[in-house]
Amino acid sequence: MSQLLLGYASRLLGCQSRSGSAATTAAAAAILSQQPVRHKSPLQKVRKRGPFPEWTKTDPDPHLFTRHIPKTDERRTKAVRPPGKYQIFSVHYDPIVNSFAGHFVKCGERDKLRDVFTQMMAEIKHIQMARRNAAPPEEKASIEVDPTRVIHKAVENCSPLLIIKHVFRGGFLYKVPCPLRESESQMRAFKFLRIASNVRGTKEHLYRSLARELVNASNNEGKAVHAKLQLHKTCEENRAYANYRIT
Amino acid sequence: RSIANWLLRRRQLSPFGACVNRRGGASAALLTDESAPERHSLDRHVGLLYRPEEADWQAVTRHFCRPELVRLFDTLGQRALMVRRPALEIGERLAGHAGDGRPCLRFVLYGRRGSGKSLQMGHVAAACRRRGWLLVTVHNAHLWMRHSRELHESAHRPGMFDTAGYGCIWLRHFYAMNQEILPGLRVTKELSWNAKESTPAGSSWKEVIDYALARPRYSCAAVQFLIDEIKLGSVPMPTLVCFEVANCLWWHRSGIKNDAIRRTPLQGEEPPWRADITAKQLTLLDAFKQLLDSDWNNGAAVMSVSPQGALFDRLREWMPRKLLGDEGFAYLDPFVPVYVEPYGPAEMSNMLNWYTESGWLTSEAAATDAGRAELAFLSDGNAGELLRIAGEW
Repeated sequence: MSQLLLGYASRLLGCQSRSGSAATTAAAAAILSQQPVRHKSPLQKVRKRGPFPEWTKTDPDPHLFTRHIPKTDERRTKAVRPPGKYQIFSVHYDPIVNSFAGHFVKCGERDKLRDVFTQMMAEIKHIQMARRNAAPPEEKASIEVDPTRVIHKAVENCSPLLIIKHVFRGGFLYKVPCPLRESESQMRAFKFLRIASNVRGTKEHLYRSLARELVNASNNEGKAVHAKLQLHKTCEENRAYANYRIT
Repeated sequence: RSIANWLLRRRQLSPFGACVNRRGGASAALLTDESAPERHSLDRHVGLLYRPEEADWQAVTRHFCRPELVRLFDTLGQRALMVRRPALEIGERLAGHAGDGRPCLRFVLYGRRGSGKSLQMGHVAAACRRRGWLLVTVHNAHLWMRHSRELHESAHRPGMFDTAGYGCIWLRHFYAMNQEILPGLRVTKELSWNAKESTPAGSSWKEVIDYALARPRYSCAAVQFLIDEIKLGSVPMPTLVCFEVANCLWWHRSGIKNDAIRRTPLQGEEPPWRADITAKQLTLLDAFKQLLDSDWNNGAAVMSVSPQGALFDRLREWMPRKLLGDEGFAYLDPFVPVYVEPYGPAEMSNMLNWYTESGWLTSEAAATDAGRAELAFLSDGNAGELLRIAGEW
C-alpha cells in the first residue's frame, strides 16, 4: 500500500494534475510522500494520525460547500483532524459541556441525555437566580447565573492536579502521586461530579441533583470538591513515593 | 449572519430566520399596558406581551400554564404573556353571545404539542371572568384516566365509578375560581345524596360544595348536581366551560384496570373483569362531557385537543378528527375549530426580546443574530419548545 502511494506521488511530481495547478499537486504530493509507517508484525497496527493540527474556525466548515474557496488555497489540501461526532457548529457550542454530556451517556442514548442537560442548565439558572434575588446588593454581582460558566467553574474546581497510581515494587503496593494530562484531569472532574450527583435512596431526577452539585462545586463546596480535596490529601501523604513514578 | 442567510437561501431555514433583527441583536420587548384581557383587540394588541393582573393570575391564568412557565415567572419576578390571534377571535365571538337563548357554542383549539392552546384558553377564561361569567375549568382530565387509584362504585349513577379524591380537588378549585359569584347562586331542585340525607332546594351552591368536601364519597355526585343546575339554566350569568385535552373523554383504554375497584367479584363473574376502565365509566368525566353537549343555553365551551392527552396509538396525531376519533367528533360536531399556529416572525422576535430583556437568556450567543436565528430554527416557532430550549441558552 505504501509503495503504491510513493509511486503515485512520484508520478504527480512529474506531471500536472487535471485541475491544472502546480501548487495543488505539489501540496498533495507533499502529503502523499510522507514517510509511511512500516509494519513489522503481520498484525495490523493502527496507523498514527500524525501530528495533524486541530480544526480551527478559519478552516472550511465541513457542513458548507467549498465552491467559493479558490483552488490554489492551501485550505483545500491542508491536513486537519476531522471534527468530532458531536461537535456542532453553533454559536452556542461549548466543548467542555459537550464532553461533560458524553461522560453521562449510557448505552449510547445521547439524545435522551440532551433533554436532561437542557433541564439541568435551566435548573442551574433557577437556583442561581433565586440566590441572587435573595442576596444583599453587594453580593449580587458575584453570583454567576449563566449555566455554561457555572459548569466551567465547577469543572475547574473539581479538577485534580495530581492523581494516585498504584505501583507494585519489591513486594509492596505503593500509592504514587503522579501528574495528569489536562484531558485526564478533566475526566476525573466529570467523574467526581457524576458520582456526587448520584443520590441513592431518593427519587430525585438527575437534572436536579446534578444542577445542585454543579452550583456547589462552583462555590468550592459539596461532595465533588471534597472528593478532589481528599485525593490531593492522599497525594500529599504519599509524596515520599513520588520518585516511584513510572511514566 | 452568513450561516443564517445561506440556510435561508437554501430553504433549509424556515422564514423565522428572517425574524432576526436587521439592526443586529436583541431590542426591547414590545409590551402593552393593557392588562385586562377583555380589552385586547385584534387590530392593536396582536403579537404584544401583556402583564396579567395579580387577581386574574392567581384565580384563573395560573392553572392554564405549565408548571415550568409558572416557575419561570416566579424566578424572574415578572410575568408576561403574549396576546395572540386565536384567543382574541374566540373572545370576539363570545362577547355578544350571552343570553338570547342561544345554545352552547363550542370551540375546539388544536395545534401541535406546545403551540400554546392552554394559554389561549386561559386568556379567554380570564376575559370572561372579568365580564362576570361563571367559569367551569378542567385541566387534568387525562391524568384522572391514567393515575386513579381509588375508585368506588357510584351510588348516584349505577354501573359507573366515582373518583372521590379528584372530585374534591376539583370542587375546591372551582370554588377558588368563582369566589365572587358563588354566594349569589342557589340550587333550584332538592338534591338527595342518599335515602336519608338531602339538601333542600334554595340552598346556596357553597353549602353543596361544603357538604361534598366534608363527605368525599359524594363529591362526584355534587359535581353532577351542579352541572345539572347549569344545564337547567338556573344560573343567571353565562357559563364558560374550559376543558383541556378533551380527547381523553373518548378513550377506550386507560391506566386503570378493573381490579383497582374496591369490590369483590360477583359469583361466577366472567372476564373481562381485568379490562381497562373507559372514560364512559367514570362519573366525573361523564358529567363534564354533558356540559360539552349543545343542549343547554346561555354558555359556551372552549376545548383543546392535544397529542399530550392521546393514547399510545395516536401519539403522533394533532388534528381534531384524528384525536377525537369517530365517536368524539360526532358528539362535538358542529364545533368551531381554532388553529393555534406557531409563532410568526414578529411574535418570535418579540418573545426572544423578552427572554433576553428579563434575563432568562444568559449566554452571549443568544444576543447575536446567529444565536437568535438558531433559537428560532430549533424551536420552529413552537412556544413550548422555545421555552424549553431557552433554558439552556
